[in-house]
Amino acid sequence: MQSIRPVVVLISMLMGMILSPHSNAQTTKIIATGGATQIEGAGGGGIVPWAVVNGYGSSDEWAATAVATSVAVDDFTLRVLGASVSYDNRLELSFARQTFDLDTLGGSLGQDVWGIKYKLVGELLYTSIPQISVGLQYKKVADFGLPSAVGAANDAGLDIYIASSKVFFDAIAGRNILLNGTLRATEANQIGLLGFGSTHSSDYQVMLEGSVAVLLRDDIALGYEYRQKPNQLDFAKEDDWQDIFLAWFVNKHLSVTAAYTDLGGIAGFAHQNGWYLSVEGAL
Amino acid sequence: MKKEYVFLLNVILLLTCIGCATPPASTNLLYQRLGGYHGLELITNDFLLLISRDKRIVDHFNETDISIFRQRLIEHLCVVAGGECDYQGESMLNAHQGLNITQADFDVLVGHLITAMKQNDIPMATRNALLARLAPMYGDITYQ
Repeated sequence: MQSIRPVVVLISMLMGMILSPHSNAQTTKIIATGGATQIEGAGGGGIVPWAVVNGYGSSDEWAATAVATSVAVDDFTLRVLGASVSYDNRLELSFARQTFDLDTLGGSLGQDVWGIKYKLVGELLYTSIPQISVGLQYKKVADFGLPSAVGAANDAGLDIYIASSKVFFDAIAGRNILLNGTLRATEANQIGLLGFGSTHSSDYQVMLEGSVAVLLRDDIALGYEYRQKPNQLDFAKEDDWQDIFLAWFVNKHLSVTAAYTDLGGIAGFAHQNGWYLSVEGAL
Repeated sequence: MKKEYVFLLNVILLLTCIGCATPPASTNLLYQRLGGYHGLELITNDFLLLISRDKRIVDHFNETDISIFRQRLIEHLCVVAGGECDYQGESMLNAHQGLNITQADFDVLVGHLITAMKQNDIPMATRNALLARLAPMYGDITYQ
């Protein structure tokens, strides 16, 4: 059983932020520069964390986001509820609860992801060097029964990543593009839904993740993402993930992202393709 | 009178003088795409109006002579866009020394500039081309 404690903590953080006399949530950053929220709760694209800090708070400002995401592929459905608070366009704290329904097999998996991201250097729009951030994602599965049965070693794990993002103005046909590259050290099986490590290898592996997006308008981004993944469990091959997304930043308080995803083989079920839909609200 | 209103009044007074200046000839594409000198005047006027109505930023202009600021801004945008204007102001670094412009201030200004360009029907590609030339000034303008 998953407790509701993380949700309570997050709501407390949000309330504290809103009620604090010195820190009003602001929406000063330029539209779309807060990005979307990826499936582990970090500001980013759909499946890759970017160096951007979630929400629209600029220097000395707070921001908060909440997100609901569904990824429905042939034999599985991933549902994510997440929230984040950010400060100073530099520090991002996030929480995401993932539920992974085994539509064909029956039953479900799940995990909680606590994230922290810190901007080291650079400004997405303004500096010649990219914006570079480091992040941690602490993950713990809801029920270790199935992950353990298929050979996972641990029920919790820590991903460590460094992400580099930059917007290039007037890059293609007068449109701005965003490039992002992320290196992630991880021992997660299927991003952690199938536990961490295996009975014969529990070493961290460094994975490469990348995103490219073109801003068709100031408020609409069309992009592609690729996420390399480890393949440590003997019972079934794990594939890299990719998606093509279209994000519409309706305003600085609401964005909607739709994507077509290719999750490859999962737990012996090949060619898991389907639709990703995410709705995000921001203060 | 509140400072914002003084600023607003100054802007309105200035708007009555639109077209007083003579547009210098130029063949530069971006400059022309922005509507030439008159186009930059219109964009700048809307930009100043947006600033004057924004409590987050207007206090930075309390000590500013708006008519001179407006003229320098037009000249600067003209030069940045490749027009043949004579920018008589200081470098971006010197002009912002001691003003403590933060990233939030800069974001607000960029947002208002985009809005001002949209209000003047400047197409996205032209807006982005100007932003591409202005964005690198971030380092000289902020936290000086």
